[in-house]
Amino acid sequence: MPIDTKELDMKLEEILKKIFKNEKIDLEGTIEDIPEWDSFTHIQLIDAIEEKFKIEIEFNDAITMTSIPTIKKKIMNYL
Amino acid sequence: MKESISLVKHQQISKKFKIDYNNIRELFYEKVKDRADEIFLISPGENTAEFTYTELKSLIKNTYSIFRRLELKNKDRINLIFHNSPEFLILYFSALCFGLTVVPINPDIAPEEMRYIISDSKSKVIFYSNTLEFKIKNIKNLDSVKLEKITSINDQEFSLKNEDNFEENEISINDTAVIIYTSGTTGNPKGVILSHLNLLSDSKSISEWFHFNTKTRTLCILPLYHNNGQITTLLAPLYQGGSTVIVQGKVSLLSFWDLVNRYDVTWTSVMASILSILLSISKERKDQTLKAILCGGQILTRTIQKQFEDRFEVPIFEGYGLTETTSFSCINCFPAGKRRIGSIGKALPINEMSILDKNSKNVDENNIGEICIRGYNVTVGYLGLKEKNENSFRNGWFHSGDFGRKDSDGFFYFQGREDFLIIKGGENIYPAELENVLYQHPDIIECAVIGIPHKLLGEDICAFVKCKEESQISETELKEFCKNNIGNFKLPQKIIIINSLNDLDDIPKGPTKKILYRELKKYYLENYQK
Repeated sequence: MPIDTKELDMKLEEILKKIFKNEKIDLEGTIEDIPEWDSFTHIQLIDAIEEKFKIEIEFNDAITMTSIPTIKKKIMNYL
Repeated sequence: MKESISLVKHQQISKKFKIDYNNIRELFYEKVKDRADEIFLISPGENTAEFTYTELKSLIKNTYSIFRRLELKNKDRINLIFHNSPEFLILYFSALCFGLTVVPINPDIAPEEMRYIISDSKSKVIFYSNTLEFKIKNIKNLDSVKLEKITSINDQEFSLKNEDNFEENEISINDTAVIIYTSGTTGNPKGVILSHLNLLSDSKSISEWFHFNTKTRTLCILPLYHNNGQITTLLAPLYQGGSTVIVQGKVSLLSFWDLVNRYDVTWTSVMASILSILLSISKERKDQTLKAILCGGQILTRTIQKQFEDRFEVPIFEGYGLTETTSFSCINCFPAGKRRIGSIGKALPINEMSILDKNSKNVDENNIGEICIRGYNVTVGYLGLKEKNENSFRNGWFHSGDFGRKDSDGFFYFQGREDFLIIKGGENIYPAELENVLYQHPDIIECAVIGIPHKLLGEDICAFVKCKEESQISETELKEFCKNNIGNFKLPQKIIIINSLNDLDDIPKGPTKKILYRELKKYYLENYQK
């Protein structure tokens, strides 16, 4: 189902805040500069995205989703 | 083996072990001859990169021109700050073939921690990933070092004309190949010097232990800035002409079984925490290729091992080693039927292991003592640390600081450590590293850091702090303070401000005012562990 970028941003921000337990999320952030983003939270993040957007992320995409802009782009490709 | 090997006392063993090459370059070039058009490296991703042996050699030669532009000479040291990536690998092999010493730096540590390693290692050039620029910019006092940002191996400079005519530098088997920094008891990391001999002997030994061959394909999920990733999943398959799939561990665990299946992986090496995480995910094994998993660096519980082997039907081989022994010094016996579950295995043929008492005398079978190692894979010592070297390398042995026992059949068993090293998800962290940071906060009078049990990571970190009476600082504010001063993985999960506790007035200390870490751990377990 198509989704507009505003709705995507909103839903994603909600997930990120919950997973990273941080109210201040930089939507341009990457795995390098978000301290809470580690191997464990990455799994939780992909899981939460799959559930929220009702998509199944391919493993090749999961290993390249290392920044929030990339995550947004990838989600759009699935919707 | 053409060159005679010069061995220091703690590298000498009674049995000779044949090393076939003088350096990593000879090993690699020999494999290029035999395996020219076969795949050596695969880096999965959006644009999956694959390199044959010949293609990698060509890239190595091209990288020489970058080294020459930067005026690097034989035996100079360089820092590599990258996560697992083709860029790290090209620079790593190019540097070893050129005669440089590679000093990799964990990209997840804080800029100040990076500065210490750069300065201590006296590196000439820092090669770093463009994704880490924000961090590199914050490293102070880098005036005497050149910075080289690498965006991609697709950059023009990597594909310049092949430098085949360039005369190769001379590399001796005893030349330093890499210096790997490992946690230090005082807070500053120590540089472990590893020679071409160390890398060649350990990788050969592991590859032979597990009968690696040209069909062996490893999955390199552990970070290449540490020894385990470099040796077991990169150099060991190379030694037998195999191949390796490299991925960034942080983002690959969810895709672990898909990667194994897609790339026909036959072997991998992990930490126990990775096995726990894989058990916690609802993803099942699909491949028919994975023969076994090597596991070390953390205590592997029998429960995790059994659950994993029952569910995924793949044997786990537990081993033991330290950066000081290049990687593994003992591994459980292969094939699986010869393992002794619960043991860290038998000594590899390149080293001897013994359990010694405080007077460096052998203890009786099954009695506990210090695990001591000597052999071809043992470092000559720590960089510039005379006193530490005298203490750790004495009477012809490397004294590991770990305690264990040996049974009558020569199987070793790990018992624990003498100090308070915390092993969080396979990363070694000494309490002093975080304590030094906490002491920089003006409100803190005293602090002590301990390891606390964590279901998946093995251990996490808890700090007890005593603040000035008038202080109003909160746990959140202290955590925020730490964030800016230490690597993310060293951040405490919990900070307990003891001023607010009714049953603990002070950090417990012994008669010599030494902090009683065991008492604090007991207090934590009784009051906070569910």
